[in-house]
Amino acid sequence: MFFFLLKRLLLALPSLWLIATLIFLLSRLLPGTFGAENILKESGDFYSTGTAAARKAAYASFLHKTYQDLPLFYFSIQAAAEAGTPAANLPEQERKLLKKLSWHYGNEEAVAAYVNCIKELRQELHIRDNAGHLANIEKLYTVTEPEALLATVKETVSNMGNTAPSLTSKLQTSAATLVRRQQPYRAFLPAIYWHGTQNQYHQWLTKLLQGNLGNSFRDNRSVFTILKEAIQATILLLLASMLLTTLLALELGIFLQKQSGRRWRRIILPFLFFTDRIPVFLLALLLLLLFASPDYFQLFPVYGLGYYTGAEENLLQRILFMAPYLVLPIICLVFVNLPYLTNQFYRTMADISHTEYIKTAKAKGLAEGTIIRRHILRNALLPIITLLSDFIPALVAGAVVIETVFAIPGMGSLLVQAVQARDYPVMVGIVLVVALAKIISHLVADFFYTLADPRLRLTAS
Amino acid sequence: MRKFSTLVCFFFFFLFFCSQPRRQPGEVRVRLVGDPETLNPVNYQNAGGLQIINLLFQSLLTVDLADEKLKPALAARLPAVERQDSVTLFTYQLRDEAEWTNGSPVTAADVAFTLKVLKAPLVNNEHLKPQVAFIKDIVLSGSKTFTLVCEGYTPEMELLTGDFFILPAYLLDPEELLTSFSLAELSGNQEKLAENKQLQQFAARFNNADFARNKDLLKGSGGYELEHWATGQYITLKRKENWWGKATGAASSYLTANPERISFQVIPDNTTALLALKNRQLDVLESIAAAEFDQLKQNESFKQDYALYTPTIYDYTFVGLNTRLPKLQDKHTRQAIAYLLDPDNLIKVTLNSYATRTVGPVPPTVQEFYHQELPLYSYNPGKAVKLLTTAGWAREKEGWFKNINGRREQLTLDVIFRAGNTVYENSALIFQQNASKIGIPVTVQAMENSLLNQKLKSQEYDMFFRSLSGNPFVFNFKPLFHTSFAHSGGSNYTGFGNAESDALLDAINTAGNNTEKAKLLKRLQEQLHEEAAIVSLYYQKGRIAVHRRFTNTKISGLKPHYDVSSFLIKD
Repeated sequence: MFFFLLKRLLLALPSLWLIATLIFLLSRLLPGTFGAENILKESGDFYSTGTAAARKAAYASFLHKTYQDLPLFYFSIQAAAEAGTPAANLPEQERKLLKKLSWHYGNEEAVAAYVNCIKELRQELHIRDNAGHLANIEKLYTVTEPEALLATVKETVSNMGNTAPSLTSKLQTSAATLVRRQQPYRAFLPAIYWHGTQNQYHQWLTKLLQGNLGNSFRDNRSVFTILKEAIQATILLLLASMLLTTLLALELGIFLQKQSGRRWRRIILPFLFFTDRIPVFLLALLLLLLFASPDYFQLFPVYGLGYYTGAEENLLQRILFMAPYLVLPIICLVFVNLPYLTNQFYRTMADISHTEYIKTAKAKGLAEGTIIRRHILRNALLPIITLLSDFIPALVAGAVVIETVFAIPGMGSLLVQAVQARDYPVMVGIVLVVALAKIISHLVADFFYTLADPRLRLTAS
Repeated sequence: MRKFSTLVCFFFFFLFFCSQPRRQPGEVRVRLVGDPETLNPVNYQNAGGLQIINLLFQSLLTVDLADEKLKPALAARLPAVERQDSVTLFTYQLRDEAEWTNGSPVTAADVAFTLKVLKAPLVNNEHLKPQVAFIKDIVLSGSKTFTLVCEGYTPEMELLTGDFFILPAYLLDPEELLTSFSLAELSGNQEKLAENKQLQQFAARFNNADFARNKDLLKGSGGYELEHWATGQYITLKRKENWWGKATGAASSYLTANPERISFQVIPDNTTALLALKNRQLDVLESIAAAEFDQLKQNESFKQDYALYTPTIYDYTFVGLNTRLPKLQDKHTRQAIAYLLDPDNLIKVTLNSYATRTVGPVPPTVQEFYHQELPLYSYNPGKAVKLLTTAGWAREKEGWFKNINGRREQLTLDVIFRAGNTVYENSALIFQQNASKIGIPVTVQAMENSLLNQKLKSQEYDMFFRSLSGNPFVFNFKPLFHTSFAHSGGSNYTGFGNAESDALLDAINTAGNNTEKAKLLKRLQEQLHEEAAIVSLYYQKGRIAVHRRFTNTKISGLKPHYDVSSFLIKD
């Protein structure tokens, strides 16, 4: 048994690694980064707090400090047209134009020459402080189509007349060369670049293998501490609601299976279908409005997990103190998951009740309760275990809404905050924990399978 | 069935033990939308964090919410300003009474230390560093007097030189790692400085999570101390005994620490927060949804316990049009769109009339600078059609068409706004209806905030709804409307501007007196109105509820819209 579980655990490691890697890479595809949100953002105010240049410099140093300026992975694939462009030392405006034109014309040398001409011309006009002509040039940054490009260049040059003649003629020739020597097909050719171990993924993975999940971008606490804090509330909430849901679903399933429950079936099953359709947030708000509002029944506290008393408490006191705060969230989670589970339990048991051996048991004259609990239930356990093992990740998803509405600081709300703030280390940490929970729940399920059905033990060993 | 009824009985028995938590009368409870995450005074992440740090630490200057004026906090008086050729000198004198939690005085050396922390490499100060980039050096003359040497001059400088939290050097740098560096040195080459061992050591210490949450380290000169922080739940602050601010004479009217304990409750959801208020679990709640605020107004039992306020807040909502697009280049087209917006109806429908219309970015409450004579754009489809024809658009079966640069273009608009903001969403939908009545197809698209910012910055949009937070004392509109900020990535998203408006914006910033400034600002409002690249809609009214057992709440249009430290319990 032990070796079997160990083998499963080892087999699970590659999938854990794959999930983490995918999340690591995919999360980086989100638009915006943590720094961009906080540092680059304009103050949105009637006066500027710092120049754009100063903000950009601060942002660059932040990226460097958090290794975010490194390439993402060991290698990268780019279109051949874009790959060779030396964009690093260009101002942002030119860099964007360069990228746009490279995709369009596929000849990075000609593009770079053309963009450089525009840049030089702009700098020259800046020195001469010629606002009129500067506005003229702005148009050059918007055109990409060959005809429009040539036309705009021509128009700009004729508008400028005798200002900086050498630069304008250079611009015209470079534009002509660009259009003449275009190789648009290169936008479809891939070019692979090797970055070596100096990349973000490598940094992260080496740290992870040493058991370090990194530090949060937001408050620099270690991700491990943050997760530990958030998981406490969630685990209490999830375990309690899962236990309650399972017990209730089982009892209800058995009740419906009984002869005496037949009458109720017509009422309970449609009612469960109905509650299944109520969205979680609506149910949560409804419960709050009904049971925590002075307008109806003011029975429960509205939000949070308690308040500061100043006294030292042991674990039991803390849980008792928290209990009233958890009642509504737990009821909510139970209500959300009960219909599906009950229905599944009932159906599985109903299927088994038609088998030959149940008929035999009935013919033997066994009591109804005994038949259901000893014969039907035991045989129905296998699908039930499968169902329950899939339950944990689904519960975390449901907890997001509940944690937000009831202001409980758990994993769900942490995940939402981390994604919104682009706090990558926390984000990846949470996904790892959920993946781990999933894997462990499968292992536990395997263990329970063998308990429920001794025949499986033979195949396992 | 018997089992079931036992269960129900047990359940109700359990209910007896649950009730609303007890409240202490001396405690003020305030709602926070999210956890502050860090209370590090140089690295705070959100408005909630800022509000709390404001009670623990102090800046040189502060805004008294009672009259919305800039007043000296740690400074004894407002700074003496001396403008020289390329630099401006701000000379400050610190209060003699000002002291840290351990009783030692707040000195000029602490100010110098703070600026060094803000400028040092490797320290997590990227958020505030750009804000003090213009301060080049500090010259200490005596333990309480110093002069800040600033590059150039802009009108907001006075505010910004006094707008960072002063840190206690004795507590945050006991090893005096930063003492050997001068401020001018730290403004130099950052890459080279980053290799310095001493600076690395300081940064490693200062970036540590301890400085974000430890109550023994987060001790400033303010009237409160951090008492307890349960992440994601609440933060409580405790009043200091014998705080120095009480003995500052006239200044003690705004340097306050009245409530014995202030508790910030983290409640992300608006409905939950409102319910907590109704349950008397919160003392202050702001930004209440307009419809719910109206309901509270009708609720007599609620109004016995809570007072409701609607100050005009400096939250300016407007529509921006991308003037760089060929179809929106003509100002008549933009004016036509302005006539289709129907701001009066928007205010009525989306905000239950909790807003004041405005002709431009200057708040109507600042009467000295506000242009009263300008007409407001109101709904007028007839005029819009006329303006479109003037701009050269021809009405056809499918819509409005025009030949621009040899290309046939249709007048269509894609309206973008921040996702999750129902006010913008409804406004955009109302505009869509109005526009469709005269045959302009409009698509409406909600966007996640960072994506929206990216689109605006790279100028890939037709039209957007947005708001800015203004204030009544500094009007530097240069970053918003000057053509030098109109390039891709710049903050002039709409591309508004011409030679005259550029000159105006420069002149406003250097205007010698208020009469001249008023004249210039009014001319700017006229220009903005005429060009209609930015169509001003309204200034919002705040919707705030405060428990009646408190007086001296200092409700104001400025954030955070009340001064919790000044709350006094009614006798």
